[in-house]
Amino acid sequence: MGDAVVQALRTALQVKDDPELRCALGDRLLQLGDKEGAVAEFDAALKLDPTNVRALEGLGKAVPVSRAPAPVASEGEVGGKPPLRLVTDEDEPPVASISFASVAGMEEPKQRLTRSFLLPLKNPAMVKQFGKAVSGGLLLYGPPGCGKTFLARALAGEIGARFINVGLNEVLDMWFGESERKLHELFENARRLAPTVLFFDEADALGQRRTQLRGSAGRNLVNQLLSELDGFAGKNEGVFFLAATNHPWDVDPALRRPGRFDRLIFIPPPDADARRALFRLKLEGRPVAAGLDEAHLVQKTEGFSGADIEGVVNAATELALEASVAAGEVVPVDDRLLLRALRDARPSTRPWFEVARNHAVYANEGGVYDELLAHLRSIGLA
Amino acid sequence: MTVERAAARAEAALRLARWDEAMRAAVELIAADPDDSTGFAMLSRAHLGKNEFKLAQKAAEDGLARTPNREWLHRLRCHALRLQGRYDDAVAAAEECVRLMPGASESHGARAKALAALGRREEAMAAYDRAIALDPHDALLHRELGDLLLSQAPAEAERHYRAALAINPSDAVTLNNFGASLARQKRPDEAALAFKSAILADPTLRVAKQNAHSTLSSQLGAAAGIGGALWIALQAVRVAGTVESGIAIGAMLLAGFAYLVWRLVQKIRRSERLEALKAKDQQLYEIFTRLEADKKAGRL
Repeated sequence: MGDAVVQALRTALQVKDDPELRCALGDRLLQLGDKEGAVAEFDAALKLDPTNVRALEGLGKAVPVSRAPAPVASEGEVGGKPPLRLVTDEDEPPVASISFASVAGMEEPKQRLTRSFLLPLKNPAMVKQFGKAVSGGLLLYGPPGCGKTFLARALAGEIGARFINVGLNEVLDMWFGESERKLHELFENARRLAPTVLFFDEADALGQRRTQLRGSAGRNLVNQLLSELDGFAGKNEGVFFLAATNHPWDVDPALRRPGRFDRLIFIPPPDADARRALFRLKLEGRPVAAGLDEAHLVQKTEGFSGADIEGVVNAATELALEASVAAGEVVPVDDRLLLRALRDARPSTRPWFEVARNHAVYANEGGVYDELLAHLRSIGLA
Repeated sequence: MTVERAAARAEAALRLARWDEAMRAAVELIAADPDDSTGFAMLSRAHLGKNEFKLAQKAAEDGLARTPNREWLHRLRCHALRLQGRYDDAVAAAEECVRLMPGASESHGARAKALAALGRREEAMAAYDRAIALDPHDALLHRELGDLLLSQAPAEAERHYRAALAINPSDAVTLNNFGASLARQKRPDEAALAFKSAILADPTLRVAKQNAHSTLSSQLGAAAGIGGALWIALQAVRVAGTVESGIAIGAMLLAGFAYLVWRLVQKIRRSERLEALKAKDQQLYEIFTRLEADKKAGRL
């Protein structure tokens, strides 16, 4: 864009990233017909100041939003009720392509998952001989950013099943309107595509304790979920249920009864092997000095989540970039820069453990948090 | 995204306490229709949830600039002002709510809370009575009125806490405050049970744990201060070196010895009471032993 005002505003933004300047640039780009550029500027302004009215108005002008209600019915409606929408071949989730071998370290959670989920599935006859049922789901819990979703995906890969991830976005969309129908549709799709792993991320959002919910929308959703899990609404053969949450104590106790999410598995922060693999993965494709002291880095990042390690690598990369600009040549990321980045970093998992400790120590009914308690003892918190 | 969908998403996220998600949806709502104040109200609620009171006030005021007569926005502004300690302004905002919607229990509840914060107790009680008359099934109103009554009329407070618990039996804060009202009426056994329920309902509620510990500690008797007894005995021996009278020395030594014996008896009695507690309520006993450990570790 050769416009002088745009150039001047961009130069000013290089000196100071200011929401008002971004809005001015967005307005100018809108005048010039560059809607995409304008949206990017208004978006950036909102990141700096989420309540900036000028940016919101600009965004409204750049992206006119439909005021019509979302279409709920589709072609081929019968009897006034929309039919169940089945996913098309293009929509179908692929069979998970990763397996436990793709997950570095984390041997204990992997063993637990194998013991309580994979082995029964692979040896159903033997399990039945011992009087156990091959059913029920798993609830993975632990601090955020520690690989619960990745492990669930790997487990689906081990089973050779399709993986359907039901995240917060889908849950929020289910809250109002025809929530029961939407949830039933989700389960029907999973049943049709079996073998399938239906994975509920942030399970506490979908299955929150009904005592914490005001109003009927959330309660209806929990009731419908219980009914679908029990298979009242359709047979669940070949559909495996997995869920993950950072707040297992907020999950409705009815969801943890036999046949539902009856096994809780604690996923701790990445262990030494996992942290080493994470450092390698995050540093991939960046200029890195030869002979990094990985053992030292791993030792210094005890308790760090995957997201924390990514933060450290990003900070070290920024330092390397800064040094490269000053030196006029590429300065690779090395031990010194990584340790400098580590100096200001703290494990983000600590506040989670502080809260979790209260539940494990004071409300460990039936030993439900025994694994967590053992981990807390190992890190000196219990 | 449609306006309706953004509004539904924001509402769902607010109910699930996903504040960041709620903010995003509220911002989308504002972008879709900057003249509608609903998005600003939702943004204000999300800021309140994140304890960002100034931003909550600003969002409410931005909404009021568009629809000055919307009670909901005045109420959100009232809460934001009260939480910033601006009680006079909060009362004024609440009075505007009542003027706009005199039949809404929420308006009277907001006014009652602001008046209570300002120390205008009688007016606050009258406002709570009015709010409860309008909506007798609002557990929060009963709890707040109980809180207002607790120091001067614990029996009355207990009545309101019971009403709140009949509506929402697992609210940890109400359970704790109910326990406090019982403790004030010298009913420590019942109070300890209420504190136990509060801890089980929300193990992160520190005040319930402190209350449970202090109530049980006084019931069981303070831990035997063997160290203190030895210190007195040692002081007696030290003083004995400076006092000439043999009688005085003997009396002091005897006093120290008697104190030591008394503390030992206390310790034995405490162990017996602990055993009795274990037999009567194993769960409460276990909670107490964990509280003791937390207290020693400086975590309580």
